Amino acid sequence: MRFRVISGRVAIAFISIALAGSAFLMWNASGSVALDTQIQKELKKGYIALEYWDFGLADEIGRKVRTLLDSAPEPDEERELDWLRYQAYLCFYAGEYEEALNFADRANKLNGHGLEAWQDFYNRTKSLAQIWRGAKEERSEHFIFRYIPGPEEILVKPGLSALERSYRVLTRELQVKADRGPVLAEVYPSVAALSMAVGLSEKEMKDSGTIAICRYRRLMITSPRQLLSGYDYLTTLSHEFVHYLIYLRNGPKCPIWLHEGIAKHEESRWKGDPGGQLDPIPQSLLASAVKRDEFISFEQMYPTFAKFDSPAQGQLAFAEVVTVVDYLTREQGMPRLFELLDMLKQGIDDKEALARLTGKNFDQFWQGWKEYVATRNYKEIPGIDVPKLEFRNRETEQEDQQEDIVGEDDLASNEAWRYVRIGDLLRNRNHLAAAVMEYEKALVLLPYQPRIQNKLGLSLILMGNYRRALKPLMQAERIYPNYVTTYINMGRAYAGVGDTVKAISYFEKALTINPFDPTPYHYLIKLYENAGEPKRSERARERLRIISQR
Amino acid sequence: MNPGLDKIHRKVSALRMREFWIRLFQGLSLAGAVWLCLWILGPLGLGILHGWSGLILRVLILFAAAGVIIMAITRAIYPRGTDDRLALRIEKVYPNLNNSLISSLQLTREREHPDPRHPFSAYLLERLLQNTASQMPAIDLSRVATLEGLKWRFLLFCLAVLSALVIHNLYPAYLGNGFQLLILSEFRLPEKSARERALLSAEPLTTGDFTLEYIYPAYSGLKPQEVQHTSGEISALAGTEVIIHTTCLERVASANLVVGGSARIPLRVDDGNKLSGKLVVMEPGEYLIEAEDSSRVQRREPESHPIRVEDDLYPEVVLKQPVSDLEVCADDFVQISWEAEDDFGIGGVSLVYQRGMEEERLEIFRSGERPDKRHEGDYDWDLTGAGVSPGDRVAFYLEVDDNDNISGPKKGRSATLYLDVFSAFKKHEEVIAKEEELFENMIEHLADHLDDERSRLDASPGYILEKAEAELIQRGRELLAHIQNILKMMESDIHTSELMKDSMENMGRVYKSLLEARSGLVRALVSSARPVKELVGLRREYIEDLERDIIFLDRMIKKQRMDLVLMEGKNLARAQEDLAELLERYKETHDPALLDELQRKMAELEAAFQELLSRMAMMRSEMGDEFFNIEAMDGPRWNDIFEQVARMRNALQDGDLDSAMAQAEDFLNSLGQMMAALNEQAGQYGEAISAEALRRMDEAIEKLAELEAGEQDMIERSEAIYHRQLEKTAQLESMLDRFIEDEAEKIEEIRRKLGNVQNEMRGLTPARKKPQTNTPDEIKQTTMEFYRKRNLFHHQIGGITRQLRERGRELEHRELEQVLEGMKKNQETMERIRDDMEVFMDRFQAEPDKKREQTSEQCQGALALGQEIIDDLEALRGTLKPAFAPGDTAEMKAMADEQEGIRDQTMDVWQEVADLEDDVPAIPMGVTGKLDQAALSMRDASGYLLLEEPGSALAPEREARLRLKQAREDLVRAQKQMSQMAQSGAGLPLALGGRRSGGGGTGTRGLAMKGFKLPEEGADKTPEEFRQNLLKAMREEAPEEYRHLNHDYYERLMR
Repeated sequence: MRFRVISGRVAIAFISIALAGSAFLMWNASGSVALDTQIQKELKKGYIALEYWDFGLADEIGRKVRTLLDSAPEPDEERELDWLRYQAYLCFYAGEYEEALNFADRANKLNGHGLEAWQDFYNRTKSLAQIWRGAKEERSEHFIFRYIPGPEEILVKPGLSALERSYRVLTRELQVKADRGPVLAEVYPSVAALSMAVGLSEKEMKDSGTIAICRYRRLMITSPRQLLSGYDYLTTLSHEFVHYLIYLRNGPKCPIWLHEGIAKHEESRWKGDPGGQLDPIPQSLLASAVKRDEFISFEQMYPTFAKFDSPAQGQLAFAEVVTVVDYLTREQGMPRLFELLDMLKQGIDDKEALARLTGKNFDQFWQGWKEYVATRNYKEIPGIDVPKLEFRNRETEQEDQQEDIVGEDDLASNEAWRYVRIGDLLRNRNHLAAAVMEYEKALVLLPYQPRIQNKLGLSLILMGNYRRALKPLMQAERIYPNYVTTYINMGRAYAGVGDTVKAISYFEKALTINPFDPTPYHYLIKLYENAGEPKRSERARERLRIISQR
Repeated sequence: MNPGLDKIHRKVSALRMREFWIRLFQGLSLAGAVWLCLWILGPLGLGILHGWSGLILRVLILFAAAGVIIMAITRAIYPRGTDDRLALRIEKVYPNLNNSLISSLQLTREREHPDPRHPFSAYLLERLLQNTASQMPAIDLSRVATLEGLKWRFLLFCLAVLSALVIHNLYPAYLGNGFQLLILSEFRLPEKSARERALLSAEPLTTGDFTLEYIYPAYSGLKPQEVQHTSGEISALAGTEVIIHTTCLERVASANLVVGGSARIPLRVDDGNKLSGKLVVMEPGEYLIEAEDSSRVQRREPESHPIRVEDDLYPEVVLKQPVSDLEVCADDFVQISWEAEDDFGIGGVSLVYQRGMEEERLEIFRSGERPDKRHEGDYDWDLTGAGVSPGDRVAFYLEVDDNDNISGPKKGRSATLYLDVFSAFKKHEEVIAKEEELFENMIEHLADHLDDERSRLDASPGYILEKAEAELIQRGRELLAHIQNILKMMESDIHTSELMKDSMENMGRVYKSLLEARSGLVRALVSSARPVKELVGLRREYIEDLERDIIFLDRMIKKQRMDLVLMEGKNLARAQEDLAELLERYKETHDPALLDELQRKMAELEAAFQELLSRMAMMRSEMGDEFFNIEAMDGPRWNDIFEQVARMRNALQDGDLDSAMAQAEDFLNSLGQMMAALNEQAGQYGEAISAEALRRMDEAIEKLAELEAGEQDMIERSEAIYHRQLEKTAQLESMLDRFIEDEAEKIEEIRRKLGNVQNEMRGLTPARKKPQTNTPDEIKQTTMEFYRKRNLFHHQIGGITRQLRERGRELEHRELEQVLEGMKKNQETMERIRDDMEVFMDRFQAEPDKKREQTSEQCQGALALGQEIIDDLEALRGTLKPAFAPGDTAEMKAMADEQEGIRDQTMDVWQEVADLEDDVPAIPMGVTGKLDQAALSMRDASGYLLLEEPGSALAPEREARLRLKQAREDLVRAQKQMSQMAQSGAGLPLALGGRRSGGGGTGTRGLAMKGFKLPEEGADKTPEEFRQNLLKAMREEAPEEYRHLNHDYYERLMR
């Protein structure tokens, strides 16, 4: 009995304790749940801010989450992990790779290596931290130029100068306030490094010829040194800056065709060009497409321009979107383009937005555009060669040791290359007149091949027949304005005829495409001296020294 | 300058010049006099003074001679005074000048550098100068610088010359000897001791004849010899003992042989004057005998006796075999035949060879105790033991030494020859190098053509087509010779692919024919300008061929170079495996010899690596990055390998064998990986250069196979129709046999009837009842005419009978058409004869009537039968032609069209193959020819089919199929060669199996000479087994294909 009484009391006491405990636990639990939710909510907001490149807000959110975590009665590993990962992303977006790696390492220590996506991010961060360790940065008013010390130093001044000019022109024309702090521009030392930064495979990038990307609120380009003939990196920086501005304006709500169309349309505005101009190759491709009524649709352009089967397709796509933007702005005016962007920002479908803007359905719009293109009288150039970006294979390869060798692929592609090969063999043995005959035979078969035109031009230059050399070179320049070899050879030809001014201008043009080729510097040093400009000569010498460092 | 001052200066200068010449001649005269005096007196002094004093005198004389000439010249040249001094000299002789001369000079000088402390008037100076100058002409310089000094010196010189002339006349040799003594003889310190000087002045010793006993050295094998009554002159081989015996007139107490002026050998003195002693001849020299007589007076022979050492001649060795440089294999035996000779005896013969920097010696002969003076020998030199490697160039010679153990063996050597150790690899490299040379020549040749074309098109002044063409053709022929040379080299190169050989052969053929054609046209140009267009066309064709072949050669050379690297890599891997094996053995045995071997192997390995790297670097520079952006070519990896080798060597040196083994394994793995990568790359390159051509060849082969199948189908269908036709013909055959039998009987019947006619006619006579009007003569004439006509008919019928026999034979031979034609003619003749006979019988009223009727009857019967035969034959004509089965005619027409279609397709393939030949010179040239023949045969077949002669169509159809097949097989073979070439290394198989004659293998696999047997007599005759095989083959049936062809061929021939 006594036992029973005691037992009853004990039981009551136990029950009471249990109830009290439960109440305490429930109270506690409700507090934890609220905190957890709040943190997740904040982090979600933070990720959205990151997506919209609002790094200030994202940083603020990160700090807020930290405070929340610190104020929690007990440490919460899971949320701590979320925060660490968030911070890692934040730093990565901001281009602070060492910091990002630090946070990522701490996150990994807390919970292994996480999901595959996280592991991929971690690996990329680690690689980028390694790549950029010891990098240098130069600042201008609105930009930070990051590069690996060495020959890439040559890009800094022209790069920043071009970007600042782009900033002045494009922020005004596109009516975007770029007020989120200085824009980071990174020059990647290799395609592999750039692929690591953007999360595409190196093969994809090389196949599609992707050399620059605007992502994570920064402009990323591959060093022109990585391409056998360089590329117009200044215009490319400007192109990416247009993307930057559009993203600032519309966030992710702008279809790729319009993004690329506006970027291509505006990319050369920094030089004072009117914009929307097409080179002869895209003109020819577009003329051909109009003739055959074979276009690349907007759907085919999605999600990226980096996945076309051939360079010709990519060029055609660009030609289409540039002329679409040109058509829109000419028909509707620039303000209507901004209206279109605004509609898209509101989430309206692009075709619907176009219909609202133009009062035509998409088919009518497309038809109108085709008619517009037809009025431009673009000429189809038969047998045109759409050049593919040639990446350098080895880091150690000397810039001045690039010989345009006729490969087996060339030989298999057209009979003309046999003559070119023979021409090369003759030219290398100083049988210049004979080589010229062979190149001329090749040109009959491939009349618009810039490589052959340049080989012919060079042979004539070597023969001292400078004026005759200019003919094929001028033709090459007209059709292939980005083919750097043409400019070098034209510089040589003009130097040969004694036209120092033109020679200098062509060599300088060559350097805007490939500033790592020592040949133009060698000529320029001499030409500046001849022109009585010792300071410019000295500068050229200095630039030559910079690119020669290893 | 002031004219006055000028005059003064000229005078002073004239004095200076005069003084110079005077001094010069004074010096020369004095020097000449002194020289002559020294020449004359010097030898006298030297005759008096000996030893040191003599030497000093000689030196002094020479110094004096040199000094006096130096002094003479320097005195003349050295300026003896300033203008002032010369002026003073003049003033001294001409005091009336009153120092005006010296003042003029000094004041003029001061005017140029005025001293402010001593100003003077320029005017006065001017006046002084004028005054002084005016006195200058009066100054006679011969008074100032007199010839006094010169005169007595010249006199002295003349005296000396006179003395010399006198002496020379009196003692002609004096001056010569004196000169010898003063200048030419050696400067030596005196050696003679006081004793010698005493001896020199001693009384002479008078010796008599000498008897010399020679005991020659053992090696010479000469017997001892005694020579009597000699003057004492010794002539012997070095090492010969000579015992000297002589007798002197004086009585002496003791005597010595003085050899070489110093060494003394005591002589034995017998009976007071008989002297004997022994000396060993070692070197040439002289000896004399000195003695002391009983009164202690030193005596010696006044003249020495010479000692002459006879030459032991150098031995000689001659290589009789081989006589010139050889190319051998690393495992060959080289047969060496030699012949050596020495004047006393051969010691031994060694084979000396140099491999790299090391010289090795191999003794191949050593003489016994009794050496021969002449010896011949053979030696089989095993190169395996000599450690030579393929590709080495080994210099060798024979060295012989004689048996001279006195002054040491003398050596002689044969001519040096070289062994080039055959290396298939090296050979292949040489071929490739030649191909590269050809490649360069072809480019030059092309450039010449293009430059010339440019000149021709631009109508450059002075351009003459014939001349230019002649030069180009000449260079083309040189190119052709180069190609032939390469082809010859390729015969012994086992690594050259068949593709390359075929290509070269084709190139040679094409260029040769084009050059010949061009050459012919150039000759024709001389007489006419017509062929210019044709010539230009040929030129262009030639240029196109050159361009095509240059591209081809460029690719093939690169490919071959790449394969060479692979081969080298494989050899390297093999060497590395050997190294690992050595390491393993060393680990077990710790044999120090193995350690040396290991070190050597490693050094070789590193060198081979270096070589491989340089080859790869060369390839990389030649071929660009297109095929070398691969791991195998990356420098860092090679550096790793070098590091591995270095670590391996260090580990070995430290005795850490386990580590060395591990490094060796790593090394092998790395090398293997890289070679695999390179292999793959080479394969890719090979594929790249041939993929397109291979694909096109594949298509052509496939097409040819289709065409072959199509042609086969044509044959089968033709055969089917032909067989059906034959069946029909067989049915006709039996009917025809019966027909012929019947008709032959009929012909026989006609002949029989005609025979009856003849018989009956013989019984006919003219009518017996005589007409009233006829005279006997007329009767006689009529009778004669009757018989003449009757005979004529008889003959005519006989002729027909013979013709019928001929018809019978024709029938037998189934020449039915001829039978028909003949029968018709016979019938006509017979009808004419019958009509004539009717007229004849009516006219002459032949009798008896019965015979007359029978004759007509028989004749009529024969005619009826003849007509019957004609009718039968005409009836048969329609039935004889065998009819085709229903549809066969239409099918044959369709087949003819199809055949034309196949022919067109064949011509398409022909075009494709012709185009391919442009890309791949190795496409057999016969392919297009075969396709051509196939097309021609197809045209024949198509024609026969249109003529509905399927049997005749079969032969060309079969021929067409055969040609298609041959063309296809040729293409398949060429494709196989190209595929092999395309595969890395596969086109250059390592010679692991058999060897090719005249070639050899790589490494130790060379042209083996071991076990080689000369062919026996009669071995060139056909072996029995071969003959048996032939006979057996002849007994057997020919292959189906050929049987058909032969059958068709003969059938067509018959037709």
